Amino acid sequence: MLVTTRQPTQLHIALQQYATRALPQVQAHQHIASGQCLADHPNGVPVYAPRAGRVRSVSAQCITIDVDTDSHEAPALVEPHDHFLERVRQGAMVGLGGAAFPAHHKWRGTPHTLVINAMECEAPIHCDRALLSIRPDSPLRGGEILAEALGIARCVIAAKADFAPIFQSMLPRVPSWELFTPAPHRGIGAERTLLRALDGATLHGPASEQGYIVANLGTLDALARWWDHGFALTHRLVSVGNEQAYWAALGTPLPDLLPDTQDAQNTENAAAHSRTLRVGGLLSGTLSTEHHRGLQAQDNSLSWDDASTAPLPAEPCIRCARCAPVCPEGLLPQQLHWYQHQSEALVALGIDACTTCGACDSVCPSHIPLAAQFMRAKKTLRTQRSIDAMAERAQARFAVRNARQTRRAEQAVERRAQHRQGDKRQDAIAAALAKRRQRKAS
Amino acid sequence: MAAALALAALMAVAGTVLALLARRWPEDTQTLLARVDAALPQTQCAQCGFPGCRPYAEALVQGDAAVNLCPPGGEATVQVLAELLGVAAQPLAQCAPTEPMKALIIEADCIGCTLCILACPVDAIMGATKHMHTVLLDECTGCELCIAPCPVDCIELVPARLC
Repeated sequence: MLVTTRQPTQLHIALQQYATRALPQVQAHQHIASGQCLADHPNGVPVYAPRAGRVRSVSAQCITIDVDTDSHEAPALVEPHDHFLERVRQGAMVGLGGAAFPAHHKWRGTPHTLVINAMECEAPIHCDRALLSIRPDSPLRGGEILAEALGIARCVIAAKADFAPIFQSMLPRVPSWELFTPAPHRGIGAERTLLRALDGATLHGPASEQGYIVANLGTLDALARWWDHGFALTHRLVSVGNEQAYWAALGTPLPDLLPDTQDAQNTENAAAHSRTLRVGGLLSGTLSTEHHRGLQAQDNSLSWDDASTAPLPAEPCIRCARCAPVCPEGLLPQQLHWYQHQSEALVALGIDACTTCGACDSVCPSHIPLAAQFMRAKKTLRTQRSIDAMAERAQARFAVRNARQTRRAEQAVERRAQHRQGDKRQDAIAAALAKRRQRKAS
Repeated sequence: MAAALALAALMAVAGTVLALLARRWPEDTQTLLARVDAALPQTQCAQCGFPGCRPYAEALVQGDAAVNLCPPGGEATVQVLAELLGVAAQPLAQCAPTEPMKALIIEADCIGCTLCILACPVDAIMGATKHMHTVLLDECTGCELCIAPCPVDCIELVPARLC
């Protein structure tokens, strides 16, 4: 295991965040200090400069910085806020497990249990292993900060067997905490699956709404660094291949982290250029041939997708049902596969509980990419639901508008009627005057 | 034996009566109307010739309109409507749009005439007389009804995925 720090020469800092896009606060050609705020958004988290340098370009998606040669990581140039969640947001805390979900959204409410997720169960991700080799105390310190701030009574370290001795040796520091080592199981690191193994709790919806906070080691490390040393989240550990790990600035161009690509650039080897890069784990990761972007907070692992890991061609489902007993969520993958294009049936079969862990893939004798199918089906379902929600809103707004127009039309009719009544009064006056004039004349 | 025969006879009679009732008794108009309305895409674009999705649904339930008049719903909606109303599906009368769009006001050109606000069927445009107007993108259904009334032609349609 080798953890090294990479000094970048250029940074491509992405502004896209979990559900929003940060708005740039710097301009091209401006010189920026290390730890200066570059962009922010009220719904997201601020973006800080990992290094000092000069802004090369600013677009809606990305800020590019030419890094000064002698610059280094520095604390964020902000005054820490008093309010806990606001301070968490200020430190740009996002979940480093792979989703980069903003922590100040996840840590709301009044949780009763903090679960420190040290399950790292998906090859080839090993940034938690790298973190424990360089700063084993830091995640625990982050857990302490979080538990104290939110008044959490019960803290559990869920560690896989390899990590258990490390935490065992640190337990005397936090005597009231529990160490939990679940039986190794594919997909055990997924929040819901882990909580089922821990408490037998069956969760519907986010764990944070039911009193649990499940935090990744990297996230807690970032929290400790922010709280104790003032470093906002501008760096992360990223594992490369099976053995290497880097402490890298967010925005570091991926080719800088992948030695093979640099060689390819030098030799202009076209074949190596078209290699497929996997960002994330073997199951949940995404593949791309576009490597020329900056490192982002959700990129926990980089590896080449070699032909040896390519799946065998899929055969038709033979309904052997071997996938059912291995599903950690107790679903019926063979049925989900059968009904993959029928959203109502999928919902009835509980596709919302599927964590796409790929346990079903691993036992399927027909090599059907089940997890990938379920991921697609869930995406389609999400899109359909958002369209339905919009249609429902439009329907309600249309009804309100029609009711308002009808009401206005009625009011107009009423006003006209009143106006005519007014005319009648005028007529009465005129009649009275005429009568009086007549009387005078006679 | 006698009991079994009596039971069988009772079941036969009850079954026949229920089957006849189901055929004779039309589905509750209100429920059918709600289901037909729900099947429509709620863009309120009036391309069907009726002033909105609900009026079209009412006409459909009364049998005054064809099922193939809703371009934003596409062929899928035609199928659902035909099934709900028990009529034959027909091909769409107009081309279906390729992707969902949203209206965007070029704010520099807006003169604040409020005509688009009056035209919007879902109250998705904000603004006041002689003040700049803007589209609430979350609420816009891309019905295009605001485009024609604009006297300075400052409303454009953009694909929803770019908003």
